[in-house]
Amino acid sequence: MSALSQELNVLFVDAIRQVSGKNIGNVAAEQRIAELGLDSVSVMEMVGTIEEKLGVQLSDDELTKINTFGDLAALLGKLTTKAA
Amino acid sequence: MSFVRAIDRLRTASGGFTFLHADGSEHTLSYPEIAEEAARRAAVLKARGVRQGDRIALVLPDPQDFVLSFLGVVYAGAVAVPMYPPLSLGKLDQYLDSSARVVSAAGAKLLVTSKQVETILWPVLQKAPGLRDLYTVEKWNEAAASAAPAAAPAVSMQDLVFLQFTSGSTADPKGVRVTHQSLFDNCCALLSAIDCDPAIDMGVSWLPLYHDMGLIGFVLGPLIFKISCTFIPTVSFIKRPALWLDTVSRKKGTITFAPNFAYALVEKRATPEQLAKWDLSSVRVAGCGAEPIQAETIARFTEKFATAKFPAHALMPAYGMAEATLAVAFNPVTKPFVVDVIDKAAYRDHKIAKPVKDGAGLSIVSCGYTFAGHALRIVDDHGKTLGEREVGEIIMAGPSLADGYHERADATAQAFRRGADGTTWLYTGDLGYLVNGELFICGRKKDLIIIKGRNYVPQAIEWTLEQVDGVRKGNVVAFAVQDDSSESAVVVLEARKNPPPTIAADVRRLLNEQYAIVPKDVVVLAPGQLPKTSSGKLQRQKTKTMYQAGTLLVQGSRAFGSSASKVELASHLFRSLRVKVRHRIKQIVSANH
Repeated sequence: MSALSQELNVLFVDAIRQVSGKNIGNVAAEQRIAELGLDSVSVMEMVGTIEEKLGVQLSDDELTKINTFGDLAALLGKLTTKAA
Repeated sequence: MSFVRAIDRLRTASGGFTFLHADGSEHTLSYPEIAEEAARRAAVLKARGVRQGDRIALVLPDPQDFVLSFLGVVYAGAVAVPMYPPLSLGKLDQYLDSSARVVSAAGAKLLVTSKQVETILWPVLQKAPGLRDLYTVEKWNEAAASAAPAAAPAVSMQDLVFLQFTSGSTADPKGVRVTHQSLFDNCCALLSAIDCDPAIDMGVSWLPLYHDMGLIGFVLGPLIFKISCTFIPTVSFIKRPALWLDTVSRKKGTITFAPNFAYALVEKRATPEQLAKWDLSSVRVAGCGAEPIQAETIARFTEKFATAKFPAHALMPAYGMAEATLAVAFNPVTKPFVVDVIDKAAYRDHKIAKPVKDGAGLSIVSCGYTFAGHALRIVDDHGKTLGEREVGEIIMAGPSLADGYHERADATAQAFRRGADGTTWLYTGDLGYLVNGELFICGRKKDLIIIKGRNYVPQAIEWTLEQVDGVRKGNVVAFAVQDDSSESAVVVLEARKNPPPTIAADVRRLLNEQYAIVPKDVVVLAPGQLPKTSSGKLQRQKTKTMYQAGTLLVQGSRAFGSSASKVELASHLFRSLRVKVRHRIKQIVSANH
């Protein structure tokens, strides 16, 4: 399992807890978001929570291409570098 | 009045629409500006060869893009086909397949989308052979800026305004034919039922505009009556639920609508700081529809938001469906809604809604009355009209009925039936009863599953799950159970001998990938354990009853689920004792309000 940066890991775990009450401890880059056991509304709310924390915005077409937390991390990395 | 005429009348109207965008910016267009833009866009379409009656598909997540494009299509005399934009992570293939099916069922020639979404939509052009082109709203905007406004098309009241494809089920999409006449009559009925007044009212909505409640309730109805509205992109609300009531407070909104789950969600999320900051005292009508309404959700919401000055009497249960254009019945705005508590045994065994005095019964929320010029009846399986408090299928007649399903004579004949007196009745597939004309809805006749306002046909889910390794073909049952704020799906299946240990997890994964459903439970049985009819047909309702009674597993059948899912099952069984209403299932793939 490849690891996400500590910072992103905490961000994802917190966001998941916030929208679902689930504490999953740790997320791997390979973890498929669809398999977290969150419904589609909660997944979108999780994305919103992450966006707000980072001050970025993912577009609708980009979202359709995200399957794993690794995908999400890569996309966020691109956006935050651009912003900086 | 045709909707084309309604657009023309905006030229001299005051008020307008305010659009929030995904990036947080905000843009207000006056009604005359909106009418002018519709005519310019229509001219561009005509120049591109669009003819009267052509179907134009719209995949536009931004509310401003959507509204202006919809109006441009109608003003060209063409027929709009609103479709849902990509709304979830991943699942692109399924999204493209279902989009192509809708485009084909509508016979759409042109698909309008945004530059951003276009990048993923190209495959639809291949999958839907009748579709000739994709066109971006950005190009359309640019062309419209220099176009001379088109003249109003000549339309008859029987012509189509748009096709309403219902959300959720995508295997066999059916488009409800909304005509100028049904649209106008339903808008008049519903807006006068809530005493709309352009001088004081401000609608606020995050509802998807590809769905009748958002489209008719907040765009088309308000345009006919010149009510100002503010729109929030659906995805922005889902990402940040506080945005809804924040906007209501900021804009002094008077009318808003949402499904039950959204009231539950904002109730759960609102912080003390937000409650202290918001002033919701302007709200006159907070409609609740599109999925079964729960008395507890509404009670919790009104109690919590009393702090933010939300008037409890504003909460208005509503019932409707696309086949009735939008609305069927509203609770009157001046009257607090009634919760009828009925005897469980009399309901289950005799289909009678017998009121009980103490709290130990089923709580059914009243959806009020149908509108002037419309009629509701309750009928049994043979079409015989039932009496007061007798439970049967709800049927409706009146000028709001849509013109059937597009090019689906079979489905149309089933749902829209002509009575002996020549009146056409819409068979809603919903079960309910009447008390002095007041409508109470207690379930669905057919086995539809409604999760957060979205409809799923169980057969489609069952067929999908047959692909999972170890599952016995033809031995999968899916049904809905009532959960905290919405319904949840439960899957019960028979496995072959020695199935893979991951079978339950595989079912969950596939369900999530294909439908974005997280099942409440997956029960894996040994061969021969599912209840069936003597002819070998699956029995969804019986399976559900046995599941809820806990008798599926205690009859000696084996469960292969993970221990986690067994714990979940145990907790479910405990909870199911308290399940109040069993919302059954509706045949027609459409949204209820």
